Amino acid sequence: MKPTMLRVRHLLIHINTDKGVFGTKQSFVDGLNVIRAENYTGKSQLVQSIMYALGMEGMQGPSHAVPLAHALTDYLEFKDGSKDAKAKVIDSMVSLEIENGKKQFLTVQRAIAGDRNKHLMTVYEGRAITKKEALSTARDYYVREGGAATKELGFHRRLKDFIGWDLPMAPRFNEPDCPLYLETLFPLLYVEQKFGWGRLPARYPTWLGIRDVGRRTVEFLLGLDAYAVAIERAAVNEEIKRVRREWASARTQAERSGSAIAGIVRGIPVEPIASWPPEVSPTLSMMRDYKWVPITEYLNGLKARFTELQNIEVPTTERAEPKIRAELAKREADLASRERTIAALYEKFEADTAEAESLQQRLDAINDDLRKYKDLRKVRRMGSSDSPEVVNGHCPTCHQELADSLLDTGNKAVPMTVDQNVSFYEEQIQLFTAVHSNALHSVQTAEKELRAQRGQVAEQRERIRDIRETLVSASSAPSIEAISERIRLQERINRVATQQQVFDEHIAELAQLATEWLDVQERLRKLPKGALSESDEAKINLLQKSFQQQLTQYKMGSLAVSEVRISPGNYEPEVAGVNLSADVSASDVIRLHWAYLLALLEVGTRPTGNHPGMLIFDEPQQQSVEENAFREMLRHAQGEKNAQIIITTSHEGKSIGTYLERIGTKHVVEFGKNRILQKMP
Amino acid sequence: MADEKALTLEKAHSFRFTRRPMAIAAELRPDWKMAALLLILQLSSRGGKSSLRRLHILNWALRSPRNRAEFEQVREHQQPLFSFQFRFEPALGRAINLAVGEKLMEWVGDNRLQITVKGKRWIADITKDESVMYQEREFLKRIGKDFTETFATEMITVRPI
Repeated sequence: MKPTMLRVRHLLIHINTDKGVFGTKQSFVDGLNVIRAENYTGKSQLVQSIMYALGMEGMQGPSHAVPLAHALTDYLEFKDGSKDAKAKVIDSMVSLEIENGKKQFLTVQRAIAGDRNKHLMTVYEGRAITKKEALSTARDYYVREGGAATKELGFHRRLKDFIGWDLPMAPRFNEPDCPLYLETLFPLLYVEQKFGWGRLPARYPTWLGIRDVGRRTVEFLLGLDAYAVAIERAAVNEEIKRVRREWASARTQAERSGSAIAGIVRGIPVEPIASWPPEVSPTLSMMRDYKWVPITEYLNGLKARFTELQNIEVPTTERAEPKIRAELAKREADLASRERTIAALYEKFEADTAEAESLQQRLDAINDDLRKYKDLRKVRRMGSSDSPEVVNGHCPTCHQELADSLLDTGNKAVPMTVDQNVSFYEEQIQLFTAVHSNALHSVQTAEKELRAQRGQVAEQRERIRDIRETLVSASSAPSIEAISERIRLQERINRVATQQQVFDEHIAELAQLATEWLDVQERLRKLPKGALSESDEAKINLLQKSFQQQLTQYKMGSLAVSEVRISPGNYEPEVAGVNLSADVSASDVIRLHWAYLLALLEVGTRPTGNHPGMLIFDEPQQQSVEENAFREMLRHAQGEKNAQIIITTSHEGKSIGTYLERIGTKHVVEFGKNRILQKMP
Repeated sequence: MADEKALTLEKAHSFRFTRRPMAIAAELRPDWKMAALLLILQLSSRGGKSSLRRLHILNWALRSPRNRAEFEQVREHQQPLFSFQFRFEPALGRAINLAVGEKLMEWVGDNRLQITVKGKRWIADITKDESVMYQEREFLKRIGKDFTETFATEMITVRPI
């Protein structure tokens, strides 16, 4: 058995009235089921209540009103002996047994009228109507509320699991993605009598806001790869976003490890790259004597100095004095020069920041004006009989020439046209954006430089203070300067080594991200350029073949059958240059409708499809389609093996009964003139 | 020298000057300004009527995101009245003359301007596209019709102490 399948097995409608209990029981078999009755007997109510029992009325609109006739909700007319009588409905409910491809059963029960909450469905894990099975498993689920398709107690989630559907996510117009709701799939499985017919290929609910709903549903029922491709495409985009995000974060943190020790990090690409390391390897450099040196070299220098110091004894103040006096002078000169550098750098930083800000303001202003111009262009293109004449260059009162501007320019300057103005602004934006990003870059560079210089100045100050303290202390005491240099050096070595480690870790992370980037680019490359894979095309061809074959059987008259094709774009019937709904006779629209839904069932029930193999036509003989076409359709439906097709009709009983018997339809329910809802014992 | 020679006029027979068209702000396009004024009358004026000074204030408030923000702060009394400094824009007078000429608005008693039926039709036409002048319309809807003539007069007369 196919994994995705749905069969309606048994329907029970139960109505409590002030004149006793009314209702009906119906069984349905595999293959073709025909329910024949005269008009006004309640056929539509029978199939509509199947949909109601599945909580599917949302497919017909957002209304929460019960979509069933007054006989089930309000009052019921019946024959009491030979006279007409009315019974008032007290409460009513519908119960339905359904079966799936694993031969499991489920019974659902939902209130139609009465006090019970209409959004609740009681579900039994077995045949509760016919076999009184699983009565103790009753559990309440809900429908028509948020989460009905996703939450554990949502009935539509239970139903889709039961059918064996793995519903994909579908993009919406204004809201986040949602699962492809069941309400969007059922219009291809159930055609309602009053509004369903004639809207090709189906009357989809628009209120759920799902984009390209027609394409998504057919893709799903046929199990097209296009769907998997669309999903893979979404996943790839998501992965690209993730790698970008983590890349940016690793890059920031690596740079932060540099700035923590007044170093500078260079060469990490802003955007992820697929081969690591990049041509210019990222480096962390430290400033030593006004020059940037690689961190390893810097650290080795510090370590060498430390070892050197450890090997000499700490001198006394007296002995160290001449040497450190000279050093003091040198250091003070260096400090002064560094402070000048900082002042200059700071000035540059301020100036660059101000420039960047003013450029940003200018950009904002141009962008706002550009938006206005784009609106204006729309207004002018739209045109309106009430548009002002000024736009055409004439004064509304004296009809003299008038410039397209409110400036008092006289004849000195001609304003640009709106289009010229738009492209002028677009160029300006490009230019200013480039200048702006330059300015931002130089702000950042100045900032890094400043930080490094400030670090050095702080260190220099500390050294000077130590020297001074040494100079004023007792002459036999050990040199404070010499001791604190050792301590400071030790600390510095530790800090630099730690940050170097942090930097290396982030670089390793970037290398890892680079391989992930390579993978995701590979996945992106493998996605087909077009929408359809080979097997998709094969399915669409099958669909078209079955569709055209049926149209020939049904003797479509308005168009040559070979011209009606299935569009590879939206999988709907199309004829080059013809609007199908407008240019085709009403009865042919009905033929197209039958043929399309039956073809969809035929192709969708193949092993890789997701069609549940159930199709309900309520009164398909619309628009006075010829008798022969209707019979051909029944014969075609009778021929569908892996399916359950339920058709109601008010066609004249005798001839159709004979015909159905001839083509071998076993399950024909004949009500004649009797009402379907009858008094129950 | 050769370089200097290149600069002499010997070979140039005549000079020609081409007048390049000039870029102007969208605010200075007649139909933009007329549409903005009509929106003020329709969305933010009682009975579609307003005095000239009130139009001047709202016109200035509408011009840019910054002006809009400043105006709203004053409206919500988060800032003193005089902190919204508006200017009388000369182009507005011209736009009004044109709009009256186009019969999109008209002068009614009490020196006020009122949007005409034609004006309403035009606005309805151009705003069929939701995106057209969206920011402006949202702002005017927020301001609503409670920005009264009295408030406008106060705004003009008040001065920092």
